[in-house]
Amino acid sequence: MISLNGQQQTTLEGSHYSVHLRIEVEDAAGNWVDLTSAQGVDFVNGLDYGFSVDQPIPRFTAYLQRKHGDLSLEPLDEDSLLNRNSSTGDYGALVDIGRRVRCWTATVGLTDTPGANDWILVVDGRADRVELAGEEMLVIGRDRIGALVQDRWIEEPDEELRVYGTDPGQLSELTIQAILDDWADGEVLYTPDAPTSAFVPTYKPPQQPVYQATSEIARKANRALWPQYENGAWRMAYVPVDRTKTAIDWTFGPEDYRDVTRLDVDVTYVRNAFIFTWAGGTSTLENNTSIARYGRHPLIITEPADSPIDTEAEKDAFLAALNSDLADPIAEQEIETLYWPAGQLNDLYRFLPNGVHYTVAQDWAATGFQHSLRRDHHRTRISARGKPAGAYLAHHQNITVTDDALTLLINDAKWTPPGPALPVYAGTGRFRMDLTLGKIGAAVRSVKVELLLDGVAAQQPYYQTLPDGDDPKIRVRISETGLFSDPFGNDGHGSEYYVTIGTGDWTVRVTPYSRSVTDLGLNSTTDLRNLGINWTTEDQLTEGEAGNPGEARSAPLGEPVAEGWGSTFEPHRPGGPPVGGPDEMFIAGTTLIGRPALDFDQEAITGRPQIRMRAPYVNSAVSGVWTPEYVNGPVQGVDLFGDTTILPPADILPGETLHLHIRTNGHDFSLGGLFVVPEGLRVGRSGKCHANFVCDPWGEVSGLILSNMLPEAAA
Amino acid sequence: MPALTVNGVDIPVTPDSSEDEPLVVGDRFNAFAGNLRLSETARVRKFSFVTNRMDPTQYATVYAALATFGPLACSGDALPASVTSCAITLQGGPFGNDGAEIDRVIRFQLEAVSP
Repeated sequence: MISLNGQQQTTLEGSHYSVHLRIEVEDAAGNWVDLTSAQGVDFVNGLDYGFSVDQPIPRFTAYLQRKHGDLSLEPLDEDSLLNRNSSTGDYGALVDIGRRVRCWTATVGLTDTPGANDWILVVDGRADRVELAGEEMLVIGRDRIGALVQDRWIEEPDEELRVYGTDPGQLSELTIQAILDDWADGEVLYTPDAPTSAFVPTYKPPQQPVYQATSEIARKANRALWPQYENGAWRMAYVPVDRTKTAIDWTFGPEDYRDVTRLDVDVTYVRNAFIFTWAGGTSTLENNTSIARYGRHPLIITEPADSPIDTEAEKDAFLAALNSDLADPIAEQEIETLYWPAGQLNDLYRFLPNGVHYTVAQDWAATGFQHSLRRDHHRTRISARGKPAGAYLAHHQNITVTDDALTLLINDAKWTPPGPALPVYAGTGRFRMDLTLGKIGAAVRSVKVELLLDGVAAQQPYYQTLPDGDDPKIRVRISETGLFSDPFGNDGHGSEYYVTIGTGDWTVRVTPYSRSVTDLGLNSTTDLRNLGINWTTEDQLTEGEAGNPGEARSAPLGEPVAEGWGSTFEPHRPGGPPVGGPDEMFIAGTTLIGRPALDFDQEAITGRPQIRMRAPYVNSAVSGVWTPEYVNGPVQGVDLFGDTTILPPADILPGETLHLHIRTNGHDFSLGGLFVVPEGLRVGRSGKCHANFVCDPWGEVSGLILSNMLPEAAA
Repeated sequence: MPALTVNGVDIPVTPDSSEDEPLVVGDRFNAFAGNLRLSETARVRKFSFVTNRMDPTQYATVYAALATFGPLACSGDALPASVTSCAITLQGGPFGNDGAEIDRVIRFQLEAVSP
């Protein structure tokens, strides 16, 4: 817990106090400007900030009044006195991305004015994003040090030079510091109890974010690595995890909090049989109490040969930590209370009986804090659960997966958009990609997204942990320089979200990471569910159609599907309603064989209708034959590119259902649309598929194939 | 002591000026056990004033004082003793020809942070 002085302790123990907020930003000259009194005006409307065990890098959103009289924080307002370089007097935006932001709060008596010692630095951050459109500006960012280690990478391409640790072992804090020295501007690691007893032998970390590499060392040393406030400053702290802690940091009773806003008991993340393969063999630790209560939930881990866990003692300690963190979650609770700034991760709180949720006091460790300060709202949400832990969800990631296993995952989840075969934008188009990931198997915890050109990574990959929930989604933007997330729901109509497509074969590769190696076994027919990618052209963005397939338009036959190429697809969605519009595109996995069923209106369709496929495409990197076939016989030799028109081998009778097989022969496959045109007609008109898949025979059938796709076995 | 002085200018306000509902910057709720929990950062007291009818010369002086941007020095019998700084929002006012000259009235709201 943050150290409090006597006044702060007394104040926070009371039921009434005043809350004060101060936000400072660094101006263009590097001098601090207090936004609560900039040119005598208070521009601060509020602040949100928070962090958790599994997202320990604090994030914040500062809410600022954009304009007051002639004073404006609008960065592009060159006339505003606020936008001045305090050294030169020249124009210089006061609020800008990359600038440091400091947020302070003070809690004092209702009629007291905060003194110098009352202020707590709750955010020492850096602005990642500034939203300027509304009357209220939003400055969104992360902890300064956390952002540094998250954004920086171990870049060394030569594996032989990418070596850390020493033999027989280097103190783990020294290994982390060496990585920080090389790739994070020498940021100084704070280790309160140095030296530790964890050692790292020589190993070769992959090219990966600095935070990923260093936090993994910490996790295997049964410690935690996260920004922590101490003695007036935030530092990257390498802290021990006291899993046997009993000293209570704070007590909350029902007279303190407004409500228990969440109280769950969930078996999802329980693991109680740990099968651990390492250099010394395979060891198993079973928690029989947990197994008896929750059933058996194994976690199988295979350590690489150069793992820092290379002694019996280290192995035993790691298994004990996993057992402590995962075998018995007890319960997860969230309370909402008056603003309470003193909390830190792994504090131990006592929650007194409230007569409703529990009848005896519960001692739970703090797992997260979310603070919200507004003019009429001073609240803190505190999450707590079980015992202090180094991680919860991070234990479930397949951080020990081998390269071979990773390759298998890539193959199983590969998606290939149409590259040179694009009907309109081949060679010159600029594209944006929204990637929506739903349930890709219960085992998947996070994903890596890569953009490849002719099979070679064109940009740095992007990693994203899937948010919790039954239908987690992420959005990934393509920029000219890399992939990045768009967690704030911005529709991203700015040009920075595009990438220019050349003439090569572009591939977006999505690699799911499992909670453990053996949980994987993914294949696209059984585990790849509700995966949607919206691949949209610039023109469609302008028209506002992107990401809204329900409003996507159809086009007369003979015309391009749309001005560009839009798609939203959901392969293998058994039982789901048809979604999407005429521009839908189906992307199969490597082994998926689909069988869409087309039911024809009894009166309007007879004879032998044309079935047109819009720009079917097979990954040009392979030379296999793409074979569409009908129930009564395959049709060979269909052109792999461009629109394809085929005729059923026999007349369709009224009310008959035509099953159309599309066999991909194990290759990636995409389809821009499926059109059915009654015999003798050349132009269809817009129409929609209905829920029962009966389609307007005078219109175009599209999107149908996507939601009615079944794997071969099921079909 | 004048009823109201703003930036050193005496403002000729009428007796029917009033104090409005204050704006409380803070939070309050009933805890799970039913007791009140509250935080209060500041209380902004609001006063509505109407000036007497003023001739053009006086009007210009008063208007200039009231229309000044930013925090203003405020005092007077109409305000609590603790108030020394305020902000003014002009709300317009009627004017008419009372004889040879046009007289004007200014309505305005004064906001002051008060403990």
